[in-house]
Amino acid sequence: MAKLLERIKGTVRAEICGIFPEAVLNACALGAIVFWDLESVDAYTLRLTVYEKELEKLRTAAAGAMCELKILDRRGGSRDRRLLRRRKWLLLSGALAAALLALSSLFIWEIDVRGCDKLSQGRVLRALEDCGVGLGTWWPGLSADLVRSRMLTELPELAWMTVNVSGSRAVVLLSERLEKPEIIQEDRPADILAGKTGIINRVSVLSGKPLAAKGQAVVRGETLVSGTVDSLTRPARQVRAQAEVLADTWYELTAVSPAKEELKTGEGRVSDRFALRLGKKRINFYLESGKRLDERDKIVYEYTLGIKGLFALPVTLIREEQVWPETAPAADSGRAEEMQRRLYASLRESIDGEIVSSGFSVSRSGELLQVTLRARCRENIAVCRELAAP
Amino acid sequence: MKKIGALASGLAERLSLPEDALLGAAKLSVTAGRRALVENHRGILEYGPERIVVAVPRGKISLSGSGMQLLAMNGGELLIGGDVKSVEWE
Repeated sequence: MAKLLERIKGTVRAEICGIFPEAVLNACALGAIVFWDLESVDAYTLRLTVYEKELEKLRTAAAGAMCELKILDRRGGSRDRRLLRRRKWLLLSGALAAALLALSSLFIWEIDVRGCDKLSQGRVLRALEDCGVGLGTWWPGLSADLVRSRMLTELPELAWMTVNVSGSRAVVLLSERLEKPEIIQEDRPADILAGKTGIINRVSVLSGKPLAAKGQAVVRGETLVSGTVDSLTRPARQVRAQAEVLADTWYELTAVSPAKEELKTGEGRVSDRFALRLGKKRINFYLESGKRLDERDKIVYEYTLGIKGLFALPVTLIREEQVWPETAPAADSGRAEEMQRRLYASLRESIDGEIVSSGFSVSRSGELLQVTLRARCRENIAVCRELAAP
Repeated sequence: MKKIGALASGLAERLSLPEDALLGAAKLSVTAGRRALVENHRGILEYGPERIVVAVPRGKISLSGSGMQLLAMNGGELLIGGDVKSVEWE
């Protein structure tokens, strides 16, 4: 900014020669002549820079100190103005560009959505577009309150939101609604059912009537503890059955992967291709844009015209770097073990108990490697199901 | 005249008043040997990257060093930047 101001005001680099050139500096200080970039050439010569409008004052000061003043360079100011006066079209084009730039800053060219957790940015952007906020929207005509009210009805997952526009950039801040937790009514009667098929190992009943015993085989959905309790003195009453039912269960998990695998060993051929995005319109400067990139990696770089974080124009240059990686067949050893490890971890995460025993089998069929995990687990299979109201 | 100056100086000392503010005496502040600020100066007598001599009310200050440059200057103060090695008050 300072450089631009200097350019507009115009600067002069001058050389002062004399017996006592320091006297010119003293005269400048007394006469409030701003100077900078002071350089001592030798004992009798100094160089300094002043604003163009103060050149005459400096000339007078130099004459008063019996020094000679020589102009070395002129920049900006009247020189630029003279040049521009001769090139009227350049001046007009510059003025037109500045006017267009100023006008363009009244439209939204970039939307930044913040605070998305469960909601996707795409959904928010579509809803915003339905509410009249999109690329190319005239933002002085926007009402943040109106947009907020419409967005809250469009997206019920939103708790609140706001749109802040700065330059041609709209920042949408939103907060998602917290989901209401499921309320368990402890007093409602319920049965305990078997959540999985297995053989019962232990039944611990806190309330309700047990219908299954140790060593009994049960299938999924079978009632293990009834919420209807008989009484010798009174009619049957309904309670909320509570129990922990440990059962032995059996699992068989299978994973399949290609028998031959290739790993990237380094970068191979690299090539660039370019595209231009004007607003929502994309112009590709290459052919075969619909071809799948199975064998190559793609890294996309986007260069938006404007000042990052402050102002953006709807012009983006896109550079796609395509890399054909060099590959080599992966070693067979270790792949089966890795699959076994993942299967075991997956099973451990899916059960509410422990793995008592397990075994793996590895087989190859054609181009496929198949790993199977067979395991016996001990877990709590009790599942609560509320009884229908009488 | 000298007597009046000495009297004022003595009075400022007795009353613990800052002499630079009361009598316009020169004041030199050197920061980390990289910047020197001279207040109440009377002009530059000699200017070069290795030696700058500044006139002050009761003598002159000579700053020696390397890469020294006048950064800013007005009627009362001047700021010198560079590697200040030594200061002499003559």
